[in-house]
Amino acid sequence: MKRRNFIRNVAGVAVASSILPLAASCKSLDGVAEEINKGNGDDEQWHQLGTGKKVPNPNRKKTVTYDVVVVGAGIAGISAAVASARNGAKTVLVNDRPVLGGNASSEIRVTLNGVNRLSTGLAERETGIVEEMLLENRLYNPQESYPVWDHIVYDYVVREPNLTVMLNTQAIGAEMDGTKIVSTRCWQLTTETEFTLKADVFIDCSGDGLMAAKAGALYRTGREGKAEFNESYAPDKADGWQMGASILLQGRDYGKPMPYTPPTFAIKYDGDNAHHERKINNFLDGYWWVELGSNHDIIDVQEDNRHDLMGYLHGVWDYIKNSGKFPESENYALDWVGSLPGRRESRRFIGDHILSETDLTKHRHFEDAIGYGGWSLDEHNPGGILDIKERPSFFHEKFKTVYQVPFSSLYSKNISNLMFAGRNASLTHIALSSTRIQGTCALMGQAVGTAATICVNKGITPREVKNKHIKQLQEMLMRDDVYIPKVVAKDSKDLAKKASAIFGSSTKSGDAKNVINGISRDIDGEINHWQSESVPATFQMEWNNPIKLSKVEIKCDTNLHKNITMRKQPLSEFLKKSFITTVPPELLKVLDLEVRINGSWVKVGEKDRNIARLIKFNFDQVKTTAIRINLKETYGHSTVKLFEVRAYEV
Amino acid sequence: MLKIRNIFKTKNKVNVTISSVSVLFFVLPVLVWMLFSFVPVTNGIQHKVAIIHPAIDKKKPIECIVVEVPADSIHKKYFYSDVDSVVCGEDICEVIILRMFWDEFGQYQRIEFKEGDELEKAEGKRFTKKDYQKLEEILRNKKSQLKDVFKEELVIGDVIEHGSEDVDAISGATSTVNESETVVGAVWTCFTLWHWANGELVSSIRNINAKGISNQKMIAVYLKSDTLKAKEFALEYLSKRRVYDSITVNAVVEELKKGDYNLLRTGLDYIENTTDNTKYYQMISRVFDKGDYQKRVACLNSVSSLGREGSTNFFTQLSTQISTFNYQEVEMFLSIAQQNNYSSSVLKQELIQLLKSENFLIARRAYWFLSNQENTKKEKRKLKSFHKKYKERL
Ligand SMILES: Cc1cc2nc3c(=O)[nH]c(=O)nc-3n(C[C@H](O)[C@H](O)[C@H](O)COP(=O)(O)OP(=O)(O)OC[C@H]3O[C@@H](n4cnc5c(N)ncnc54)[C@H](O)[C@@H]3O)c2cc1C
Repeated sequence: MKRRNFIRNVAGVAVASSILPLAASCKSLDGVAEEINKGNGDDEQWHQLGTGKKVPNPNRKKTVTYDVVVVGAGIAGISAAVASARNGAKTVLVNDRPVLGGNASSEIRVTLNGVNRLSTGLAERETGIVEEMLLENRLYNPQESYPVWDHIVYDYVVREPNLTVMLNTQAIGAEMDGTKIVSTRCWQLTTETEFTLKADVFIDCSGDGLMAAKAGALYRTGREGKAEFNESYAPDKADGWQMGASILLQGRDYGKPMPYTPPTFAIKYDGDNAHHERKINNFLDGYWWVELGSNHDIIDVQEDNRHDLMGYLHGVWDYIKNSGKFPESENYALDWVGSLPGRRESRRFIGDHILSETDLTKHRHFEDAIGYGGWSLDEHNPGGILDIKERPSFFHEKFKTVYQVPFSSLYSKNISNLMFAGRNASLTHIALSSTRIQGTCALMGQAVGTAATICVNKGITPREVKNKHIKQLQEMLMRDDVYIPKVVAKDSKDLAKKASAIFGSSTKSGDAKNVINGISRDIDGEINHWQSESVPATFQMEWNNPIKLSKVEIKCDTNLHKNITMRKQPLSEFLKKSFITTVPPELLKVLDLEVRINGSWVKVGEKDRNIARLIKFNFDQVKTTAIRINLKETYGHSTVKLFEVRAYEV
Repeated sequence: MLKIRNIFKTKNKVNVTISSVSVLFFVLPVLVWMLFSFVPVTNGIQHKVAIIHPAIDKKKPIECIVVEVPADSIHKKYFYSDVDSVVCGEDICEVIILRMFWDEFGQYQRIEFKEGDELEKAEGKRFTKKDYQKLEEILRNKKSQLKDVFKEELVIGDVIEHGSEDVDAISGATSTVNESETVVGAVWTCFTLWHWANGELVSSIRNINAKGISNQKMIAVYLKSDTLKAKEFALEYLSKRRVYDSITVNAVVEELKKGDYNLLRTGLDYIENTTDNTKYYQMISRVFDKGDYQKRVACLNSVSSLGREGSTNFFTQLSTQISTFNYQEVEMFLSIAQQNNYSSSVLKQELIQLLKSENFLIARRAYWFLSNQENTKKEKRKLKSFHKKYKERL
């Protein structure tokens, strides 16, 4: 990094020692990059016995250029990075932890929920990248192990050819050229290396947003007052409260009495006087309400909160094991306890639009909608575990149908090439109480990752994407299986829409032509699928005139009204209605694709263990007059449903 | 019907054991609630059956008594059983015994009460007229959500109603079944009664009924009746009994030709159940002959998926009709023919004609089929000229 470039800190003044990167030994920090890795040894400090040489301690530095830098590999960041890489941008994903997944990782173990349960009782599951990961987890991790889930996510990400993953790497600064980020400076803990990552577009999905803050992006923390956005659930006056972070635990039944002695740092929990909604109804998975927030700056107090949260957690377990109130817990012991708090809220960056309560509750229509949410307005109580007489969350309102999330809440108002997604997006505190759910964060992530590729290809800013190319962004997202409420896909390049005949071998429900109607799920009381009477079945499209074809893309059924996320406790009989713990039986497992060339069917692709809802066949371009999809086997269901079939020349 | 050891709670919540017979006798012909009353029955035949009722036990069958009442000058044959109004998961419900009626096909008809008895909702409130109407709708809905829930899932007596982050919960009073599918406050009653009305008793009743019906009567009275449920009943039992004499086959085919796709779905089970391939193809082609589009596709699917031997006559017969097919039928038929290496001069002649079809997809499909055959000079000429004309579209 050149000297004339400077690293801005949060408030634009000299960097304080409190934001030192992990393990870096900095002496003087005046914002100059070179200082970070500089030591005090002389030229012969390191005696290399292998070479026999004496050399200085290495000052490791690397500069690498990408098209897109994504900071933070929670569900939002993963979705952003994969979307960006898949759509052609050379992308790097930077995460400061050794595993991917953010709050959903084995380090924290938050359940990866989405629109799990609308007030109708049904889920409206997110599709696209997040669903792909969840499906693979169901297939490859039937044991429901969190560490294995980490590796499933890791595999999912590292196999993308355009994507580089940097773990144990923290983005700690931004180098600017006017309002544009030129590079971000990162510290890689394990290699003692300072990286400068240059790119055209930067995406901050780190939740806390250190890099974006350093770039000078405007942000806010705390709760808006009622009046600012006309939010009925907001406090009368604005205040600094940020929802807390939590540390979770998992217990296990060892089949014999398991005594428990709390550690010295445990903090007594007065469960007898706690609000009844602070439920202790299982010993397998606990307890999200062990939560500490902040009235001012939650980042500043994170380490103190971590210590206290560990104490509170053991306090609750002590109450369970030793108060005598839970004799059924006798054989249970702690099997896993977190040490890293999962965070719900800190910086919220300011975009062209700040999404607020009524956007959600009144289902405002946005021309630039890119996804949706639908978790209830689940605002946790101010005070968290410090105010146990209060309900742990208010659950102000549930949604009957999903609401739209706009793109203009996902790019910075004042930094021209910066986007964000996840819990740090442009939202009010009340809107965040719903949108922070990871399925929603994932949709935001997929949107910014996809938008980044438009920026890179056209050399434009995210704001220009919003103003001039929003239809293109929406079409790309829908093709990649994102559902955008009230938006119908109309891709002019999709040759399926021009087919002269479309039919299935049998029809149990839905018209075969539904597969080109632009809506890829049954929603709003409408059927948008074709369903066969039985399996095997075939589905065919014919064109009056031959077409050139190299891609066929199919969206099949994964039962979007049931949740497939991994949980830390077995499903109750009640939850079995809305959750499943297997690959959805509706999903197509075995299929192949044939094209008709000179009157004969020629197989151009097959899948013998499909695990995705969006099934892609890519093949050398052919001239053809028809395609036939042979739907051979599902993961158990006796019929098969298709929601979309697309066909492309290139 | 009654469970043989029928333990139920009376209004003052005392457990009483009664025998099924005693219940039958203390019913009084008094109109209790507007439309319902127990009617004395003298000539019923009692049948003991073992069934699963999910409100009682998911796995262990219970023994019940259903009464068959033969037809007389006023009534058609019907069945009834005296059942508990509710098997409650929470032990707080008041149980009464009511009489439930089915027709001879096991289709739920109505319920009747003893004098003074009424159904109750939560907190001891009585069913209103509207509640009874709703209950009737629920019991008549064979596809109700209640079909697939188990008693543990019905209500969750726990926590607040919301989807909290980690505890997805629902309030005690709330049912997991859609409100439109239950009488609010009486989910247990709806669940219990729905499974009496539409559960395993239905097939027991059908079996009992079928036992007394000869094959001839099955055909004369049931298959030839004008109700779908009677026809389906006949088809089901003719198929189970494997009755494939020519009179029966003929009668079935005639009905399937007249009937719609829904009837054909049951009819195909009968057709496919024969082990005689010749009979199978004869039946299929006769039904196909007069079928609408949906029926024809169903027949072709049957042929294609079963791949039975001896199809030549069938293919030849269909060949003569190919000019009446729509594109999907042409495509399906020719694909099946190809799979079975079938070709004939009849088919080729028809296809040559189809080269001139207004529907280009059909013409092209005919062309491709023919291109793969041994052709006469004349046929070759026709194909060549087709090719020349439509080179760009092949
Ligand atoms: C205890 C708890 C329970 C919750 N319950 C649920 C629930 O049931 N279901 C649900 O869906 N959501 C739940 N949430 C909310 C949800 O977990 C978060 O809102 C969501 O994880 C946000 O996703 P994200 O990708 O924006 O950020 P995160 O998941 O926070 O991921 C951010 C990632 O960025 C990394 N990072 C941070 N700073 C930097 C940096 N400077 N450089 C590099 N990397 C960085 C972090 O280490 C992390 O890996 C809960 C949250 C908590 C804490």
